[in-house]
Amino acid sequence: MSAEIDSLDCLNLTILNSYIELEPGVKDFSFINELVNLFASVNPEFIEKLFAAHQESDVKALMYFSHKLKGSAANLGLNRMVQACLIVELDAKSGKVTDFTQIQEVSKYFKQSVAALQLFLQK
Amino acid sequence: MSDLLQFAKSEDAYFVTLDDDPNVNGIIERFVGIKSISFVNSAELLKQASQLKPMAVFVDIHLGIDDCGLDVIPTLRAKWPYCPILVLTADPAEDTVSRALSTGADDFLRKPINSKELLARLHARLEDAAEKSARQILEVGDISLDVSHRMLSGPLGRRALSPTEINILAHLIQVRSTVVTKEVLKFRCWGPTAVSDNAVDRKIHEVRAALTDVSAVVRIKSIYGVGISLQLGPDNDDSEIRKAKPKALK
Repeated sequence: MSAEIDSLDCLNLTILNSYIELEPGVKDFSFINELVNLFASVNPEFIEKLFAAHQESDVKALMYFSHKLKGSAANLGLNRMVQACLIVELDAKSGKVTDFTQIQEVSKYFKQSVAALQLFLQK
Repeated sequence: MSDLLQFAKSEDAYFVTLDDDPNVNGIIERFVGIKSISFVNSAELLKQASQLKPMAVFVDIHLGIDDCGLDVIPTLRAKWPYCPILVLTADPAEDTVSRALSTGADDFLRKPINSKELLARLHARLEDAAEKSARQILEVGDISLDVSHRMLSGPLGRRALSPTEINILAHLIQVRSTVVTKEVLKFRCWGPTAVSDNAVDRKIHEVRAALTDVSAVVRIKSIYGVGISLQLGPDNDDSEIRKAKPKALK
């Protein structure tokens, strides 16, 4: 139970609910399902590119892919993933190749977020 | 949904999104309730822009490693002078918004997109655009050109212009700081009618005089052997004109 609460804790329920209840009192889960599916299917490729950018110490690519993942996560209210991406992005903006552990954090929070979103939709 | 958006929907209107995140287009479409045409890179949008007439455009800033959404805004503004252009950004930097507005965008939205904020900003910009379009008013620097009433206004006064003079000035405003050749002016302002270089020069002289009468800063700059462009103040570079646009748009 505590693991579930912890999982959902990385979500911004206000944002998610805004996609479910587009009109007051009318709940429709089809749109949020579409968004989650797209988020889960498109972003693994960009996580891979983020790892590759890190391996090549390509600051420009690190900045772009972390920013892209951050925007994608922000749209679904995935706070932890947003924060993890932001650290990579800000480091890259200042010309620094962020620590590898931070790239792993992005990947970890992406997986956690997808799991949390699926849990949220099941509930 | 507002009356204006209802109207836009009933007229089979659409908006355009330029964003490399496929979810963004769907989110805006869903919130606004109007269909959209989405592009994931600048080149694709610019290629098709001439065939499109959107009710509004949403432009993301970071589109690719070497693709910045802000770069296309001056071109979109020239093609669609009255169409609201809203910039989308997840960038926390303060200067992002001012940079967006200085390129000719009308407003901005921060990601994650909030439905109420989106609708409120879009509504305001659509009303503004509808009013400007109805009155056909073009603004740059301290001047305002009322195309339908053929009237040029500025802090120093007002001047009525002939239809050709209106066309010349309107074209110069729409292309912003771009240099326009005489051949392009002939084509845009006289159409297929044959016209001599002297006749074009005379009309440019009239427009130049009218600007001097009404404006303290907007001038026509001649680039010898190339063409003419609008300039804001004798010592300012072209970027000053771009900076002036958002002020005119509120």
